[in-house]
Amino acid sequence: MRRKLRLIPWLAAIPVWTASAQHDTPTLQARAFADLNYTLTQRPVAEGFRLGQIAGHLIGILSDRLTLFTEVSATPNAAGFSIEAERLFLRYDHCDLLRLSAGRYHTPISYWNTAFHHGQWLQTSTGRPDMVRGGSGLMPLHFVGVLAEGTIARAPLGLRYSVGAGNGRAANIARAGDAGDANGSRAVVASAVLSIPSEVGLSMGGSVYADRASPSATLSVDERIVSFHVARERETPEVIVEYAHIKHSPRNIASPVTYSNAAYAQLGYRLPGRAHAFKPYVRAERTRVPAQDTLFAPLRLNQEGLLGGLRVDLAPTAALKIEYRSEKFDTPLRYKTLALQLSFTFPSFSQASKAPPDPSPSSPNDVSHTAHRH
Amino acid sequence: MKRSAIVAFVLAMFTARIPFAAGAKAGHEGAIDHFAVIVHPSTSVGDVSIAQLRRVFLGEQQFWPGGSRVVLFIHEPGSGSRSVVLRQLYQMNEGEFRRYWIAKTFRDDVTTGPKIVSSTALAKRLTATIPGAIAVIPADAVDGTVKVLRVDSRLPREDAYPLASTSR
Repeated sequence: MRRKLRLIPWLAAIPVWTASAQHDTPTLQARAFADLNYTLTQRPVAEGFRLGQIAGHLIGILSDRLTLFTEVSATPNAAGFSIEAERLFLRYDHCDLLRLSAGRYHTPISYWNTAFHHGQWLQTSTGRPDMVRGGSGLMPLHFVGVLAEGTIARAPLGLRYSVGAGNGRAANIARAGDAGDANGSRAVVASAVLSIPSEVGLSMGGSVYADRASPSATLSVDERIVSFHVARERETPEVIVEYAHIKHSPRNIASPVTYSNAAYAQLGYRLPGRAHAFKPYVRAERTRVPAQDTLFAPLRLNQEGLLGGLRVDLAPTAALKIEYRSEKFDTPLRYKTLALQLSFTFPSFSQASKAPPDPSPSSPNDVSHTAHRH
Repeated sequence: MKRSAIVAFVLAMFTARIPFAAGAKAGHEGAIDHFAVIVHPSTSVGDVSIAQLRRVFLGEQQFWPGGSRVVLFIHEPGSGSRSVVLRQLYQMNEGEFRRYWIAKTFRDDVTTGPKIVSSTALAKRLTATIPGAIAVIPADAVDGTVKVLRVDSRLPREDAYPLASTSR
């Protein structure tokens, strides 16, 4: 409880002290995402109004090359709010080719996982695809360790890479090994994403992840995940297609090697002219886990879903989404759900701890700020 | 009678459209505004391709070859410089531009987004002062305090210079 209270000020992101990065003095920027949901569903889950996840994102620019990234979330549950340090890492930007960091990340193993994650307003739909659903355990969504990243730009292409090593999954495989490696076997991840500057927003890439998961003292499973994605973030149309293939090789029991597959395809289109605020979208998704999978089968991860919705941008940073879903899980029963969501992001802010030397901007750090003539 | 009336009607429409068409054409004829890409005088780069420039403004290239960090200045909404930057470099409208930088910052791809300036004079003063700074301003506002980059080996007002727009 005391720990939770200590973390609350992070979420509140109360006025912070900053100064200009160009002068090698610290800067802190804050942004928050939140959402409110209303759900009617045939599924055996709670209906009605639900406060979504509140995510506070802070960036501390410690020097021209050193930056601290943090993200803390508050998720409502029956007992109150559960507070989580989603991301916390310190990064040294040597150059475009090499950036080194250490801490807790969104694992660069899936497009959606790094692109949207807790930013509900950023994503078109009300929720994530099931393959990257929080707490599902299918993909290791968070990662504690070290990461090397960089961009190799050779016109007309750009290649962004990430290579990392860390603790991998905890004994609860839906969680990262925040308090240490569960089995002494480090996880490694490598990803590469190709972009074309002349086609802004278009990217395609893949990743490989290897770990040994040990959910109990008697079970140890070697895990290999290969994933691919193609994404066009521009909205006329928006296209996101992702696929993950997961191989599990049990080590100390006589169980077969199993292969699980998960994929989704989402299509959205921002309407033209006066209907510009409206963006209809559809998504199809499917997760298939073999019954013999020693790691996944108990989690009942099979899913098949089709959804359609309409996103209405009420303001530059607020959206209303209306979505209809039809889903099947581990049984032949198909559940229908109607979901409404109000999602928004608070404008970011930053302040100078001391007046930056004239003529530097008064609020220099974001597109939402304007540097005025003094 | 009926046929001649139709012919007369078509001819009338045709002749009526000539001045309209000419007027429309004349409406597109206007002065061409050229925009200069200015950088801090210490910047080691003198010539960039439009693809490189796009990468810099998109935050894909965050360091100059000399090692200094790129500092982006962009005019506030409503200015000609911003319109050219959004249309020809970002290929985005205002909403897409805002969302792009919110997403890019959220993904930790960049430490900070562009700094928004309220006037050409301020953009020029900041660019002249801050190492690594880059901005796009009207070419006729350039003076000796800043360095002008060639884009695809061309300076403003040269043929086929890419950062230009037609004012009406």
